[in-house]
Amino acid sequence: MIICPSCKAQNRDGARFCLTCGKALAPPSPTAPVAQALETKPLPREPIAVLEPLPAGQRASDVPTKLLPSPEFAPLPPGALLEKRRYEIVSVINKSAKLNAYQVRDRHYRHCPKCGSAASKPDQEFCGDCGLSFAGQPAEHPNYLLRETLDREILAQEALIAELGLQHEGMVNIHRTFEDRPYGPRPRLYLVSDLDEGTGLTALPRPQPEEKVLTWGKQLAQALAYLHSHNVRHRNIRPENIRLVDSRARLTNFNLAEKPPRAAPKEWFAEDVEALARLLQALLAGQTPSPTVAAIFDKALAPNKKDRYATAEALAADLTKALEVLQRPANVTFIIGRRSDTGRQRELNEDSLLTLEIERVQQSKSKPVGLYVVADGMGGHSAGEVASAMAIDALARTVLAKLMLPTLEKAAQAEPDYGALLKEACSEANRAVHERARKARSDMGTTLVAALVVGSEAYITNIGDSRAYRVNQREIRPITTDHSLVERLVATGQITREEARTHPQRNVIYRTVGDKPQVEVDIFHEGLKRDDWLVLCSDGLHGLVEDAHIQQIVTTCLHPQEACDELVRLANEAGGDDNITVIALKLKEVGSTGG
Amino acid sequence: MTYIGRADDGSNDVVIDEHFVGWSTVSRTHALIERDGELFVVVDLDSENGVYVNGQRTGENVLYDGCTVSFGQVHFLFQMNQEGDVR
Repeated sequence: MIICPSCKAQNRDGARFCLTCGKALAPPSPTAPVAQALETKPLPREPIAVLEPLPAGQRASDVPTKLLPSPEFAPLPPGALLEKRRYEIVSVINKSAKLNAYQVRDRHYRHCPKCGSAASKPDQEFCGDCGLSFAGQPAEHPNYLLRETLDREILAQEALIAELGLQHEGMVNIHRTFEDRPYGPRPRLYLVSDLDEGTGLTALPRPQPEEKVLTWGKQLAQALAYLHSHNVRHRNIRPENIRLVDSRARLTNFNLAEKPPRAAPKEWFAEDVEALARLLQALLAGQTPSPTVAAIFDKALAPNKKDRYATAEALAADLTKALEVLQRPANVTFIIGRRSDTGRQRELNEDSLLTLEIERVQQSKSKPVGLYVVADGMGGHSAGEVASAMAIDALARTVLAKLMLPTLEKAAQAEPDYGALLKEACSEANRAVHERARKARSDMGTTLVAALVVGSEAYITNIGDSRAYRVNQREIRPITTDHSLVERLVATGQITREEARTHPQRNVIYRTVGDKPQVEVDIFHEGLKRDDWLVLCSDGLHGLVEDAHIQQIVTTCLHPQEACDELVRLANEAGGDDNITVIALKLKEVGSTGG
Repeated sequence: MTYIGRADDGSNDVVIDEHFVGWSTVSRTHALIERDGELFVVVDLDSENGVYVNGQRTGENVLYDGCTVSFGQVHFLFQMNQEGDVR
């Protein structure tokens, strides 16, 4: 036991400094390690730290022998804290005489491991963007790139982007600037941005596949369109200034960016658009581009400047279109499921469905043609099922006579106008039903949703409240708009979609097949991609099973037939208050050898 | 908060006196070390010759177990001990 000469506190044998007042207990030898408690009254289980003097000749190997004088602008060590301890330096990425770059963590926020959001506070219990529970997980702070300089001019352009608040998913984004004075008299300027991760375009072997290049091109052109719309041009579109992270391309290095004081004319932005086109073309060099892609480059780099793309937006639009064409499968087959069920409340099934297909495989090339129809009949005295059956028969007859038979007889030379054909078939169906209703003095009628699918092109129409959906792993989207009272009320904002499901007048429709001598026919065109589904159904399904649930069933069932059976089962489980009819079509790409 | 410096007038918790090699490079009140949540942080109090962590000059810095922290030319090894024992 040693009693401290200054404060009289008790200290353990061998202690060199007093635990209570910190005064030296005995003159320490410069070579012997001495200890100092930083926390004199430690709480149980809390860490205790000690400083152990290092003898002069025995420094840690990474400590330079001479520390003084220190240079005015040297990189800070890992652990350094800036901006009121908000940012902690994780590592030094780069250092130079005028500019240092660090990886830092932002201690004011936490990173969501599920969705990647960096917007949650460390004490939040759930991710504000995806709802993930953070319970029991230590906060992981988001990491950023932090650049540091004494000379404002060096980061002036990037600071401008930060000041304008310009951020886009096609850019390595700059978030903010701040000033701090870690030590010494001169303040340093700091710039926080996304980490400059990913592969550079320069490292890629060439040529790259068209689909990839178009995807990157579209993202970059959209980023440029965004910058240009804010009167900023990049001026440095080069392979080394593009970063690829996963399948995303991001634009970086804004150090030549500029913004004129007034709105600039379109021509002022042309150099960015041309530089991007040239860069994309170089990635494809060495292969013959598809005609659509070749046309884009011919236009982007036309000898006469007037013929070129006027804006980055126009280039982005063409790249998007070309990508859609490219992603459309060339050689497809349809896998179909269908099911029509009376439901639990009705005695009769007034719904009708039709599937009509021709699929010829010639020289291993397949471009099937299919007509798929769901019709939901209505009218008393068994008139409903007559109307729906007449409608599908009329549609089938027209499409068979005007499209399918001529195809087999090779009479059709030019590509027919499928939309017009479908319109004609619907008018034919309307005429037939209307004629019968008039003669029988009946109020019979039917709804109808029809899809004429030719390869990967789908032409869709609807009359009434039967629907077509396009479904894939990412989304479910109604292609058609119901001609119903509640749909109007939703469209005009008078009721919510949720209220529409239980609205007392949810069955009121204002457009049907057979009601009037003429019927208005809207045609929707969809270019289907591989692994897209089309779902046609009567309100007996979509009135009882929510869209998200339909999507889940369709995308998880192995076969469309299984999906149809399951959907009908669910609608019955939910009450089955109407007839339930559903057709599901899956587009499957077939290899030229597989057939 | 633990104040570190050369002045032996009661203002410092750790007095770096003539027993330390290089003690003349330490300012009267040179730096402080404090707890910030789970972390220990060293803060340079505008000293003449600076605070260094692993040989690099810094202003405010998290001290991790095993790092070398220097006040001017006086070097210390920083150690954390989970058992709560003072060595």
